[in-house]
Amino acid sequence: MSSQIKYSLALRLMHWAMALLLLSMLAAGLTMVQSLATWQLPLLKLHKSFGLLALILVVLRVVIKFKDQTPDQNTHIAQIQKWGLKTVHGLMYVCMLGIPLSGLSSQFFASRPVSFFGIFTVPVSEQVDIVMYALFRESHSILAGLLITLIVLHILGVLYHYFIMKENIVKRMM
Amino acid sequence: MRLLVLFSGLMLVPTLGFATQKEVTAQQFVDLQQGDTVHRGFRRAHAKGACVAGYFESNGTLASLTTVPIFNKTQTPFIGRFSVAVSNPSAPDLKASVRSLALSFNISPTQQWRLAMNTPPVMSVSNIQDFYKQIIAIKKGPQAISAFFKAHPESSDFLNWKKSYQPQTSFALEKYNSINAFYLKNSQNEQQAVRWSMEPLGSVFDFESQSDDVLFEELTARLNIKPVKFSWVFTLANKKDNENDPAIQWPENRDTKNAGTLVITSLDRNPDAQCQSINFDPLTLPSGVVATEDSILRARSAAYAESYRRRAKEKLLEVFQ
Repeated sequence: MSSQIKYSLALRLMHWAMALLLLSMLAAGLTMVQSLATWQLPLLKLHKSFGLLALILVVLRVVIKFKDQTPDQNTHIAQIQKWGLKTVHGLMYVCMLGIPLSGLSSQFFASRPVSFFGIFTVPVSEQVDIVMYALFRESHSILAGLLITLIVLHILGVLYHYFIMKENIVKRMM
Repeated sequence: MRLLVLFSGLMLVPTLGFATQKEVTAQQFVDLQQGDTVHRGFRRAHAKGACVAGYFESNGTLASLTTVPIFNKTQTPFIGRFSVAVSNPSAPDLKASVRSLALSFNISPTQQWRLAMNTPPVMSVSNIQDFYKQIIAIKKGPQAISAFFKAHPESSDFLNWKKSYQPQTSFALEKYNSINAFYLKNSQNEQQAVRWSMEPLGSVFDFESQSDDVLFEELTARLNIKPVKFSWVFTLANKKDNENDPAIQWPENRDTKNAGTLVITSLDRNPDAQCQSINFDPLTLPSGVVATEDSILRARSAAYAESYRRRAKEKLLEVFQ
């Protein structure tokens, strides 16, 4: 196995915190749209608050990513694999930004104020627009589905490196 | 960051619990409500309705119990919707056994209040699983429903109401009830469990029609003459009442407070009128009103959201056609 350069501490922390947050949010989202249980309401509130947090975090993450450039460690892989890797990572960022933004927009057009842990509340449209609501609500779900697929591909990529290429790239993130 | 990890972990807990339970889902519930024929773009329950607008004139009585600004001595505009509980938007008005009034107060860009009220004062059952079974029984027919009520003694308050209830000749003469209880919260953070109702202030109005839309036509004719008014009356629970059980009527002698007058000034029967776009989820609450643990109230949010999402998607697809 070749020696590897770790990502910066900020990026590593961000990666794992967001991994946990996004998985919880996907699980909460898929559960709360089905459940009629009494905890659905607090879960919905948490989902909205943490969704706003995810939006703030992903913006921060993009800033950090641009600021500290980790050298390209994939010089040894085929062009097509690089291409696939860039597509998966790029789309993950599209989802990480698009999911909270579409969720927030759906609530804006449904005139349902979103509270951030009771600290502040995001204002909503004065008039409900059901078509715009549907557009963002459906995008929210489609992007969430896409993110789940991308996470699976992301993990498969890591496993491919571990078992086929015989290199433990997880170390870069630890 | 540790807090973040902790909270994220906490969100997973109910998910695990959910995965292991075989309970009715919002999708199954809405499937049952909509029946075999889907009326695209319409609400799955209470599909037939028309929009109203007006204002609430508060007398200030409730201001000591809640911080919601509409209860200061002031006037607040609202839009709302009268409806009948049918899944077919062109069903005859008189076919429905339940009539409803829903309201939306746009208090500020960060404070919205939606209210959904019905003619019965209580639910027939105390939890959502039983409510689901009750709808199945209703669909099966009279024998199934009487067997259901026999097996559910908690439905006695509902059945007593049903026995004495006479449908009125007008939406304006019905009494509409919150059914579920909520807490009012004041500036000292004190909570008081309440139920409320809109009590009619109108009188019988001479109107004849054989139309399927008789109730909406009557309301149009009535509003052409003068506004339709209701008193907004709150009933305050005391320590003996269980605010989490929507099937039990609170005793007559509980304190009540008349908060003011709801004045309806106009009706818009246009199917694209503004209120038709609104999801009247009664858990859309401003600060100053808090949901109780009532399991049927808590179930309403997810069920309303599913119905709303279905019809919103159909409306979106219409745009592309």
